[in-house]
Amino acid sequence: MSDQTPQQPPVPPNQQPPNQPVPQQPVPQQPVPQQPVPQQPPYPPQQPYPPQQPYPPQQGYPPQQGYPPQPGYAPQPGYPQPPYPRPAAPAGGLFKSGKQKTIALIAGGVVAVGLLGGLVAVVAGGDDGSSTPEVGTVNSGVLDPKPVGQVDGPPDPGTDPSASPTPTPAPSESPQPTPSPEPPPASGAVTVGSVDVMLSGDWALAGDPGSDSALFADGHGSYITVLTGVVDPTDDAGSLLANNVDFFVGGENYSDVSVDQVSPIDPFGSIVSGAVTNYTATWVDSQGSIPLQGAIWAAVRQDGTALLMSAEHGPAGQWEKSADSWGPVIDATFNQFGAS
Amino acid sequence: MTCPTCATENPEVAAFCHRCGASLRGSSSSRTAAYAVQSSEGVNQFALISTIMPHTNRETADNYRWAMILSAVFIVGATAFGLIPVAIAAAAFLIPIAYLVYIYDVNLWEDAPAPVVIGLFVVTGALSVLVSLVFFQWVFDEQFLSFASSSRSGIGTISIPALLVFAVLLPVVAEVVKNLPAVLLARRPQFDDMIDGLTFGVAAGTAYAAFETLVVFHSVFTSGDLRTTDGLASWLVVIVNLMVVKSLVYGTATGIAVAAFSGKGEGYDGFTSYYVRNFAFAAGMNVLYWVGVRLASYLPFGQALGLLWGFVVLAVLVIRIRVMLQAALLEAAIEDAAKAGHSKRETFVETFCPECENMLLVGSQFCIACGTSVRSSSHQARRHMSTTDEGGAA
Repeated sequence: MSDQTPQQPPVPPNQQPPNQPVPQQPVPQQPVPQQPVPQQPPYPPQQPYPPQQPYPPQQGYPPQQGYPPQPGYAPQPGYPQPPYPRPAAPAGGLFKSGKQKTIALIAGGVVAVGLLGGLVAVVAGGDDGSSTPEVGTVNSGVLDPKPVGQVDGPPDPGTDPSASPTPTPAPSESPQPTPSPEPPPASGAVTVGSVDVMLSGDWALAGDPGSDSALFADGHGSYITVLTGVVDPTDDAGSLLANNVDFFVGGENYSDVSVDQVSPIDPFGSIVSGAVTNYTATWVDSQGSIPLQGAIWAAVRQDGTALLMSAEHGPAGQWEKSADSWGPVIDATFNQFGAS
Repeated sequence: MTCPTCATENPEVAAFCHRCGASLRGSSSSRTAAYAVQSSEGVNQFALISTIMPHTNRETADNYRWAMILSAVFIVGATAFGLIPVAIAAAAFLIPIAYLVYIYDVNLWEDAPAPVVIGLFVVTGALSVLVSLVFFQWVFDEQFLSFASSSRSGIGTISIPALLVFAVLLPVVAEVVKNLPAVLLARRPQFDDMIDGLTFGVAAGTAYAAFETLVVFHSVFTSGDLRTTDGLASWLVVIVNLMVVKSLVYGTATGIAVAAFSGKGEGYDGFTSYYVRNFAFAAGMNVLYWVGVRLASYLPFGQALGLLWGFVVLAVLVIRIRVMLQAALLEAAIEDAAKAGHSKRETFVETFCPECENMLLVGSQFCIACGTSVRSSSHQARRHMSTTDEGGAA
């Protein structure tokens, strides 16, 4: 840059112009600042200043904006000068890698790690116990509601269900809960909407329930979600379930959702229509992901009350084992629902 | 002209004092505009590369920028095609790989064998795996699972114990773990500069983030499905969060703490009150990040809101680092200027500024033309500035 004469700044009258040897005598006329002296480190003693050489041309950098062009500085009187010839830039530049090498190393490394991840997924997929099992038998054999009463036939088709609430047909006999062979230890019932959810064991309400929905947890990775409402008693529970699947496995946090075909359940008690389906999904969040497996049951009572319940467990590989926990709650709640 | 701050004589053409870095052209000698690490940027500017890679200059920063953009395109493309295991692995290690290349590029491990620096990644990664297994698999797995079920039932069903464990306790424990290996490395005499402390902190933080990601998303590698076909929008937001925000929030927060451990002068400061304050700040920002992400997940478009919140936290951390480094570089230079004798941080021979390629005077801590700190130069550049031959340091 100093070899570009037009860029040289005006030379102070008491200084030698650049590119000239600096004479040692006479002593420069510019006053040497005396204070504060301690700030100046003890530089090597003054030596004859070597002739300024033209700086090598700048390579690879655009012209600097905003700064004055910096030619070779004129030697400052009183300013220490090095005893060494000005070194050239180190061979290979000030960085180990050039542009292409840097980009290739980073992008290549990222691609390699990504492909390694894909390879691991191909090789290790399915070998892990926590892998997602196939959605299998509907109902899993767990939900086995017992009829709790005899309903006198289907609802009267001549009655307009939307005109007024259909009075519940009187059962031919008083509904008596069928004693279960091994009744689960009841820990209380929680009313959601107009439906009692029969809890047992470690099950407890999780958070604040809504007016027609609630979440229950057993503290061992299983969760039951309850949704209630009133529908037309002639509505099919299968359609009701299919229309409400998104409530249970929808939303932006659920990925890879696989819902099995909805299967009907034989009605019993006051339940006029029932259905069930199983699903698998992956819950996704910025803090992690969990493979989940669950089942959703739906039932419509003859008075139009609808009950949908899902049992869900994570990780998915422990779904069958978790049935011992959520099965009694599902059974007891639907038994109670059908008995009402 | 005489510097009004340190009374050092400077050439008439100087824009900045070569000893203390003070501005010689403005009405005030204080520097609030030009960042001492990269003078073309302002101090309060959200510039990622020059913040986490302070030894780069404008040209080399562009190399990293392009490398990360190309890598990000690959990761986003893999996500769009549903190749989630590929995208997760690549996103987790994008920043750590870029950082390893950076450390190699600026020759940070010249004075210490490469295994030491790589060991920092491996040791931090191993600790990360251990902590993540404890929290996500072995002890608090039930609490973490509660987020899955409560995510569809509304914020009213959120488990407060789970929130405290994963948004408060875990970030604090993780910050301690991230600091341990980085602090050990920052105690080495050749790495006692604040910029070195920042570098090791960022390296440890990003390594921790990468290995934690592998643990908490391990199911995508073992599900048996290489390709996912639905929910890709959610995955895309999550992967961008992992690729940029989480990695850099972890890295910059730990960088702040370890930089405070190194201190502004020669030799490391150690566990001073300054370090404690900055460690608390780092841990607090991690807590804020995760509390925000967790609570946002209950809102509509919660994942995207969490990502935006992460960028806000990251911006605060980046500005904090820049203000911290600016103050440290200027204060340390003034202290050096007030002392008799040479500082090992100044030039010993005339050379070129790596940033603007103008001449650096002997005894410089700053370029008189652009104001860039000599301490932010790459290690091989600094070695060149402080040696009389190619061999050893002065």
